[in-house]
Amino acid sequence: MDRILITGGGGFIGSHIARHFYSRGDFVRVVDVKFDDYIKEKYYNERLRLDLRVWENCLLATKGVDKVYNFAANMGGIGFITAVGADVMHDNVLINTYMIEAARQNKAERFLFSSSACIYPTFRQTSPDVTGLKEEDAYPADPDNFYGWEKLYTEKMLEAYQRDYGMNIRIVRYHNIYGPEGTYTGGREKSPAALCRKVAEASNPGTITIWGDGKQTRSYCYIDDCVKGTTLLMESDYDKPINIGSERLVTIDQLADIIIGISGKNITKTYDLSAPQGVRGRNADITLARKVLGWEPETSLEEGLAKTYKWIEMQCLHDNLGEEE
Amino acid sequence: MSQWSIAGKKVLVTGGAGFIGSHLVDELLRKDAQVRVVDDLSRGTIRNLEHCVDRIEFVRGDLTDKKTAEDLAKDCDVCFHLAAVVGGVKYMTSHPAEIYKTMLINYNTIEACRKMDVERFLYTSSACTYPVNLQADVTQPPLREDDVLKCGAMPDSDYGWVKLLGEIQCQAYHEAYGMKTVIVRPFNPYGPRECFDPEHSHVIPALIRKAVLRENPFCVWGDGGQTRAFTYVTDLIEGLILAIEKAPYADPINLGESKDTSIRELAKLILKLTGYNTSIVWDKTKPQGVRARKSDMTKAYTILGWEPKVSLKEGLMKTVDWFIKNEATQLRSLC
Repeated sequence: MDRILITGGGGFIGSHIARHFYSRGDFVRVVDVKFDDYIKEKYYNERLRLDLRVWENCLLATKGVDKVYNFAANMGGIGFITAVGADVMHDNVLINTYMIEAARQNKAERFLFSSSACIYPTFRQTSPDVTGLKEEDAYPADPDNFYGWEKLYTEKMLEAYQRDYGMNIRIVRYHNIYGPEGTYTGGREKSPAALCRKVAEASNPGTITIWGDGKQTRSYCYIDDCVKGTTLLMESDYDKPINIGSERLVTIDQLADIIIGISGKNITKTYDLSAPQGVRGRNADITLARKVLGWEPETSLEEGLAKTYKWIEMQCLHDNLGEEE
Repeated sequence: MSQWSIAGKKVLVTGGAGFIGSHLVDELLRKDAQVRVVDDLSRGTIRNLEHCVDRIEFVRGDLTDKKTAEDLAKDCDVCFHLAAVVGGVKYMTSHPAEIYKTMLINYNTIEACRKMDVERFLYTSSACTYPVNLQADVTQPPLREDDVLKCGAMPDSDYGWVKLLGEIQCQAYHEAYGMKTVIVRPFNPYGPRECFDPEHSHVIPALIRKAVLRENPFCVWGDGGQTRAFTYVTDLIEGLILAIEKAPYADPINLGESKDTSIRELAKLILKLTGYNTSIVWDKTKPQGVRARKSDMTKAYTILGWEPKVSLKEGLMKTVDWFIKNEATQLRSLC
């Protein structure tokens, strides 16, 4: 049995990983400033509400654990990280700088950091028809936004901790993870959840608005696949950054069409060209994950979106009922 | 409208007991600014401020603490943010993780200044932010400010990465809050009060120390062919003040010489100035940093009207004199 700390355990990826270990019988401590509580069953042994921008709280959180999954971050979808770039960067630098040092002082055996596809250089993502980003493409560095700069910076800091103190570091670069039981409203949601919500809330026949011209591309990875890849990485000996994502590139338009198809509604799309849309195209290359982890995503986009849509549709229904009561 | 000027302003200098900081304090006092200094004295020393300590407010404090940063920023008009975990090439390559603590200092300081409505904030970045591949041989052109990001960032050291993220932070604050942030990139500053101890010293103090103390053999790191653009400290200080007066747009400006000097020339000059007649032993096993580094001065000249005034020979003489008067006796007794 491992003693596992999951920071950001009240959020999307953190709560799913926590549930995985809790159901396996490990001791799971989740720490967060906010708990979404989308997962209805109990998924942790210990739950601490702590602000990890405070050093003493990081010391408290890392006490007596073997493995640290550091998912805590101020983050959100493209609209959010564009609007409040300075805050996001500030908060995340504090959390990460304190967490790694606290994990070191409390002698945690392994430390996993959730990095992001946002660290990759803008100049490699200027066309919708992009080739997949390989791990070594990160340098020379030119992230598209402040969020990406901070993630990249923390990767460098962790490399230094590894070299200086011989700490066991794992760095996972997530590429657009989506799924049920995650943020779907309020401004921090990502594109798949946002589109599911827009479609679920639209009347039939109805209209939804897409950010940008719909031709920007991304690849999306389902949460169950992400959990599997992440835990395999932690257990492996691979100590350099690695992509966890999907290689199936779709346009935002295609993504919306799949969701509309799932809903069975008759929906027209309009485009908001003034809305933020991020880099023009982004795809993952997961050759390395296949090689060193024997991992690749198993859930198709259609299958994953069907589960996601179903959950978000139910949430919206509840939200509306709540309002009427 | 008259030009914004530092005169009469209340100024916070972080790292103000250090080498650059203490020279800045001298100049600020000459310009009739009110000066508050914060330093944790981990590398800076109160001796650097002895001559003016009754004319400034000195606080021994640790900027990794948020509250300290806020208390200090309160009521200030201007902040020169110089505090950082720094050292020479030896320290940098052996203590990478330690250097990342500088980020906490940077964030606490800029955030405190934002909260306390400090009018202008100057961040001292570094020539270490430039990509390795543009510093690979001596024939490459001087480094232009936009070279840092033009083809993607690739500093050669952890220190360079830390400094770069501090710049990005200043840009984020400028964009998000309209904060008047200034970014300067000093190139190899040197002069009196620089750190001469063997653990932390940069190349000039290291060689002066070895020459004055008549170290035998006289070892120099690398093969002597690597080059740097050395900037005398008073020239740098002039640049810092001009930058905060004229360029608060989060747009980086080089403060450095466009003329570079090889380590071989430098070592010979130091031997000559210290009257040490010996041969140089090149230690090629030691770290030597990037191969060549010099500054394009166009932006500093056009925007600030800045150019260095003190020649390398003159600057070295002053530095040697200071070292002999202030440090040599003490170090000799330690040996």
